[in-house]
Amino acid sequence: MSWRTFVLGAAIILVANVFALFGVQRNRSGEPRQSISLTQRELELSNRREENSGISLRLRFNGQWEPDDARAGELGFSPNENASIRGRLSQRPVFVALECNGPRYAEWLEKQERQQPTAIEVVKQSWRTQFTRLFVADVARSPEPLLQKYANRENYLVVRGLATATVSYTDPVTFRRGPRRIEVFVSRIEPGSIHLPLPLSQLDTAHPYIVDLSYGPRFEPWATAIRKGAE
Amino acid sequence: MAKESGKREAQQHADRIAAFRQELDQLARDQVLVLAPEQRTRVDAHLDSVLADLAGRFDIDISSSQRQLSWGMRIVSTLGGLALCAAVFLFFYRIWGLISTPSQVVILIAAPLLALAVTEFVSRRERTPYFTALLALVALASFVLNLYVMGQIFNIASSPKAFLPWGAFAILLAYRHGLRLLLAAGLLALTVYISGIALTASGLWWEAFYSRPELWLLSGLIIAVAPAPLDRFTPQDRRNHDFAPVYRLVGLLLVFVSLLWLWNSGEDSYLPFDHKPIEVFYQILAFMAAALTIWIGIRRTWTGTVNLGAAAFTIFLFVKLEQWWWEWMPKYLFFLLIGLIAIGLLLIFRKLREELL
Repeated sequence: MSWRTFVLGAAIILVANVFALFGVQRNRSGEPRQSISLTQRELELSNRREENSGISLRLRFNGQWEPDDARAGELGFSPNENASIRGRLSQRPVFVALECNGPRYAEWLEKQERQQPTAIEVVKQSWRTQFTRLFVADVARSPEPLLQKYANRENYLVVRGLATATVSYTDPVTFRRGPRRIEVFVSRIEPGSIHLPLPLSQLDTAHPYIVDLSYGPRFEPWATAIRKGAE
Repeated sequence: MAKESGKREAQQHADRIAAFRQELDQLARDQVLVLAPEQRTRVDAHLDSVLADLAGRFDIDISSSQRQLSWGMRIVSTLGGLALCAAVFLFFYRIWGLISTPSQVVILIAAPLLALAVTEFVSRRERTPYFTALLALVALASFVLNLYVMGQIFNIASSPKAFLPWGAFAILLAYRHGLRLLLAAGLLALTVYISGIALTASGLWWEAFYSRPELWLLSGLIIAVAPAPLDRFTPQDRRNHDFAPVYRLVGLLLVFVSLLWLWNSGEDSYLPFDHKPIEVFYQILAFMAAALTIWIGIRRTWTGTVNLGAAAFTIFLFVKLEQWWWEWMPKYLFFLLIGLIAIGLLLIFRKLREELL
């Protein structure tokens, strides 16, 4: 009886798993390339459900970014090319420098208060205590320029992401109809969800928390610790 | 005794015997050929012994009720396999948060290996393919779950790479156990892999693989013509004659769907022209491809290919007519013309059919 097919099938399964685990080992061995501590404002906890007992954290970020045509062109977005602005074809894999609780968040907060002076206190309070403080600082096609500029700075993180382009006819200053232009923003961080293994997943979700995240050379994150944050 | 080497030949032999008996009965009723009772008894005894031999060696349908039951069993086997796949997925997701990461990894790797071993074991014990088909589907689902969840556990960045081992595994199971559904799944997985890799190389996000129909068009063409070179390099006794129609079906479906897509969305083409001329080009190409498919199908007597080509041609025609007439023509007149064109097509197909007889 020949078990050649079984051996070949088992080899496909094992080789695929060895590749995956080797990549994980390469990413996590040695000193992490980047580390950051984020709170529940930036890492939203998924609810444990009966049908899915796994716990993960979803990265919440503000993807606004306003590049000029030259910067958009560097990412591969051409203002005249129709194909680049249709559906999924408008998405390009990029590297993103994220800034946590820095000048961009302060600027956004100030802008919100300026634009919505009549907002009720509960809403204003939520901007200061619940909204994410993770903002896009910079975007590039390769990680090197971002790592050089941001990797050693506190509260900055270089991650993989997707830049998305849309066409706009609205002038950003006057809000009136203007010439056709491309707007680019960061639509997704990849991976956008971080799995929490045992025992980290046994966290009391009723209270604020702080998660220590590490990123390896493959820009894949993992949670190293989780602790109670300030109320 | 019968010398058939495969199930397909055995089934064809059994079908010929059934037809021969029917024709013999008809000739006797028409008084054209009436065998003496002892001759008829000898013929029947011989045919019965041939059928018994075939049925003993191969899983074949001897009567029409057996054939209908086989189809029912095939459907139940596929649905049962899909239900078991869902059970495997849902069970793992229900428990994975309660076990440690090493245990998760061990379970994820062991599940497809175990399912593969059970599939192999059952296929050696069972003459019928139904349990094997069901278990092979579970083995593939376990392997998909394996790599997918591994990506989630270790937060691995999304990529099309997993489609390569998934496709290879599905095709391996398909060839080992003669499973057409797994062959189609494997071919589609490889199409996603090749399209995803091509998109990544051109600086786009791989999940947009479905937004570049020319990549499927190329993959579809390669898949549709693959049986010829594959047969050339496969020894006669190891060829699976049921697989060539699956290659053609999957390949041609990819070709026709991509042509229909480009027909409406020239912007998604790689061609460096304005979208309008690209759409016109693909509309002409779609009709030519459907007509060519029918012609090749008739020449090679590939019934499924002729049917697929005819269906594609009819759909293309109706889509074009809708684009030309729907807006300005009274609706009753539009449907009347569609009905008349359908009658015209039927007459053409009948003429073609008569010429083939």
